[in-house]
Amino acid sequence: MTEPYALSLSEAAAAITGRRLTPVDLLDSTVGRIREVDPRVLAWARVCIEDAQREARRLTDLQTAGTMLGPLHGIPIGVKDIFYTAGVETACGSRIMAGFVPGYDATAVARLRQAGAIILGKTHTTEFASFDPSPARNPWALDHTPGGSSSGSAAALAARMCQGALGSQTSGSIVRPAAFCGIVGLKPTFGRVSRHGVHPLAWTLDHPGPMARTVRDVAVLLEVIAGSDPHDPATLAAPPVPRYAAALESPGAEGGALGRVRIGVPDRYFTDGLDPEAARASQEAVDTLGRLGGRVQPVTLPALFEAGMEAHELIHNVEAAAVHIETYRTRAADYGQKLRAIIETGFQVPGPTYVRAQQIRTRLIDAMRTLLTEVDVLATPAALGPAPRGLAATGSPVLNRPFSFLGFPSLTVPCGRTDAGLPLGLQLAGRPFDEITLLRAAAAFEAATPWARHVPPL
Amino acid sequence: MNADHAGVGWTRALLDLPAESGELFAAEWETVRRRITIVHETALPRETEPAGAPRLARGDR
Repeated sequence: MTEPYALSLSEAAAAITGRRLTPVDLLDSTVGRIREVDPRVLAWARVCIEDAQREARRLTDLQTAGTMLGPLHGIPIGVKDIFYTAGVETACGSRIMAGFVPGYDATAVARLRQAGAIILGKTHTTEFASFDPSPARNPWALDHTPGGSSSGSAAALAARMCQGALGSQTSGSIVRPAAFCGIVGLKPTFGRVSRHGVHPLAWTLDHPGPMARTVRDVAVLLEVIAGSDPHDPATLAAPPVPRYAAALESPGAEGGALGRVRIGVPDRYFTDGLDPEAARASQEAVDTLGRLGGRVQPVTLPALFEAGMEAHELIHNVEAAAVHIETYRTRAADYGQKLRAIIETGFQVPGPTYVRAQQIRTRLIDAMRTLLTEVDVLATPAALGPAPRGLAATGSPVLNRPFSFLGFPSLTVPCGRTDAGLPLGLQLAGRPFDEITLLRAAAAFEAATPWARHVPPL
Repeated sequence: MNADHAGVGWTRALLDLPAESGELFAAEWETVRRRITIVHETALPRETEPAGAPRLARGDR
């Protein structure tokens, strides 16, 4: 019999709804798993066992009484340690924030609780969600990085230490670690999920989003955390939140999972510096999408594309410098070297350069909107290769960065393994607020391939 | 970058940045300098509105 901790989020939720499993039993199993493997994986900054047990008992009592709070009733969730959690330390992987205990939950965390989730603890992040690594290790190979910055969330999910997790992406911080750890991660459209209560790295580039082991699980989480929030003005103009999970269950109602989906393969950029095994897996994944009925065609990226990536980096550095200027004045030595370099160079970028970078962003958004009238989805590798060996760096976000810059949605779904056994991911990206098309394509791919069912050999 | 340039020094003083600010991370600054050059050499219509401008009619602050 499958141990409860090994169930997917959707499987566990169905078992709880069907009264075949209680929140207490699921949590006990999950805590046992954490005690067994986390001393090696180091995914968690802190596990709130007593709080989680108290909440599991309350949710079990409600279950017994026939009251279910929502689709996540009794589901243990890991929260990246840059999301504020009321009464629980939120250190952001930094010395600067060590000991900081927020008085309120981030909106995404509050919505998880309202849906019945158990906030199991805080997962390791790189320092302030930047590039100085956390202690977390890759469950597939403990001497390899899990990627970053949502390092602990990805590692905890791959190692079966929670059913779902929150991450955030400013360049590649959801999609890259998810790909490196062989799970599913979705970076929503900018404005789809509130940033309120998420410590900023760069305000106009930050995207909170869900991570899980299956596409459907990510859809369930997205549906819970998405939506308008008066505390985040970027969310106010967003369209209503669709029923993402239900859309996966009835794909035929809107034309079939891949039957009418046009898949664009970019002509350049996403192949620069690509590892041969990642290139082969990506090509095979695109071929699979074609066999599933997708209409695969090459697309030409706008001429402005590469300049946009340089603009992204300048915006990132300037905004990070602005976020940290107050504490940097007095505590520069408490910052890691990678973030220090970002802040220091951010101080020196001229104001007109920052504005011009945002103008390039406007133009590239327009050009990519046009491109995405020719196709529905862009398919690319999720990373330049598998998780690199070593723990001093978290790998390159260059293949994920375009969609953080644009604000367009993107996700990764497992698409293979290297000869050494490390996971590889397929990145799909699409039109603003059209996460459903990405989820449908990814779900069809996931169902047709074995990769999402593989478990790391811990 | 010449960290002792009067303008840079004035900015550092205004922002009350650490004394060593701008003197570290020479390699990273070279990358940033290249990026600044690319951004300014990229042709753009002058009327382009920067991303991130408020769109008040749709509810943004």
